[in-house]
Amino acid sequence: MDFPRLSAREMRDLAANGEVSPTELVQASLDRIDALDGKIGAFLEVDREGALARARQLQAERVKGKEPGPLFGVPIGLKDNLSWQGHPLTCASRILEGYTASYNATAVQRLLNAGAIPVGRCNMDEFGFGASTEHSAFQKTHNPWNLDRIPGGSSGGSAAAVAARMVPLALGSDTGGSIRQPAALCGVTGLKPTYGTVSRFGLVAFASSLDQIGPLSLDVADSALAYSVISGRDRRDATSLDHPAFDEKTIGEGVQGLRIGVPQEHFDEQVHPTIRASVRAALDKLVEQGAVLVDISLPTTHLSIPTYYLVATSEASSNLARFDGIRYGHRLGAEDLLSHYMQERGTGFGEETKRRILLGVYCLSAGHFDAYYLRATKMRTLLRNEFNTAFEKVDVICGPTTPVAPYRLGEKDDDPYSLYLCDLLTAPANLTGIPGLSVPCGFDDDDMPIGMQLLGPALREARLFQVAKVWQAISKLDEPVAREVHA
Amino acid sequence: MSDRNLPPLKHLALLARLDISDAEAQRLGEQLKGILEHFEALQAVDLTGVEANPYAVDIVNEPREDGPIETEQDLPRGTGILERLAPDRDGDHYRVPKMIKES
Repeated sequence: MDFPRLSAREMRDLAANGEVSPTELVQASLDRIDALDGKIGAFLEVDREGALARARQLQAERVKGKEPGPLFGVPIGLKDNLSWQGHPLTCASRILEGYTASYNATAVQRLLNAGAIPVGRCNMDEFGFGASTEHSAFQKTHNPWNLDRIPGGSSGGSAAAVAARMVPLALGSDTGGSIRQPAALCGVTGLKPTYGTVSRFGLVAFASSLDQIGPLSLDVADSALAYSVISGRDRRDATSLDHPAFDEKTIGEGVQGLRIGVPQEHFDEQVHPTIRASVRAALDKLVEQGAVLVDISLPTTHLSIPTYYLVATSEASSNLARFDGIRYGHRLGAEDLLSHYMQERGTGFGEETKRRILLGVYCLSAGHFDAYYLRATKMRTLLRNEFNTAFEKVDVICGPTTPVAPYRLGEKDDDPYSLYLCDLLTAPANLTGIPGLSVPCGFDDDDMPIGMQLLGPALREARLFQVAKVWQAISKLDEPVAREVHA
Repeated sequence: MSDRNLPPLKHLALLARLDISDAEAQRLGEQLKGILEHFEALQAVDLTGVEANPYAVDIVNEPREDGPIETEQDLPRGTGILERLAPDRDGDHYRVPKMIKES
């Protein structure tokens, strides 16, 4: 078994056919984590005993004749903002130190029901606040293609774990690009599904109107498979859409006659020239396959950053008000309740988190609400109208996932706004609720991965997978193994 | 930066229930000011007649019946996990610092 070169589907088939056991798959994953994670830092916790015990249990059930699920025996990683029963849940924040999840997030439960085996909790920016995974309170994660570079974020641990082939599949969450950006920078596939298609029950909220859980995987078919498993109505999430789970059979073949919208704003000077050129070259290849390119304009793109940060920080400041240090954590010995709150939160939250809470509190405060939050919610309507108009003329929209390549760790420490600009091309999908898929597109002059983003109308994930599959078949970019972890 | 000047950062921090040092207040205050300047771009957009949209998709509040519902996962009861997490407790109650200061 050549574990690092197997997709989740291949692992599942081998295990279901009895050619390898779930225990062997888990052991291979653990061995690879042991060998590599010391330098990558993707995992906050590796649950060796639990994963091996679950593998043995799945095997025993199989022997007794139980049908293997669609992810039978597949080792997976979970971003540490997803509830995983009996395990710590930290959101990479000190304020959640000592908290243990008492139940499973719906997405996690559905993966377990499908036979997947979680091996550990993946690192992230604290509460998802960042695009580099440098803002974790516990450790920094390094890009498997070059250890001096960031893996992107905030689901950087999940992306690095997949790119380093420690697991073929991991869950992340995406509020302004937190699945798609690390997928792009680590050279893997990442899906931000349509808002409301994956239950947020058990996901620690960052910005409730934007958050969505999705998969990071080695290839497009695994992404579609994982999405089919985790999607579908859940009565425990009031924003869950009354829509059936995704069906992989709805993915069409080829791109003959398919209209791909190319927004000029996604190819302007804010985007690195090498990244622009790489995506243009990919589009040319898709034209050779029969796709039709249509020039379109999304003129509000440049305003999506202030709109996004107003909405996201306002919602975050409200969501994070629940962390009061009463029901878990440790007591710092304050004399009265107000001092207790101030101390617990002042020491428990990291700097980027404090920055965003303060920004949100300001934008929601009396006298500023109309100028900031309310304005931003109107901007969301404008953006949505813009995308609706575009989708009357095209089937999908395609452009780069990120404006910049993975930078060096520490490079943007002194300028928070420069970090926010990383969300330029991804945040619009969250603000409008539409699905976005990032797939590997090529490499830059430093040999670092470049990502291409496909956007589609709400609930049209099948179209994104359709185009991505054609591109993957031409480019074969699901195959290269990251340099630093090449065995 | 128009009339929306940042109030003293220590005041915002009190509203947010965040204890921050003077040095932190200074640094964060300057950074927030810089970020808000970027946000000013939105003030120039004509949004007359545009509807506010706090959600990306059209969803309506859907109150469910006030009773137990069938779901795919039974939430654990009486596992003791939540109780054990409490840093300070008295039987079935959480103990918190004094709420009212003595005069």
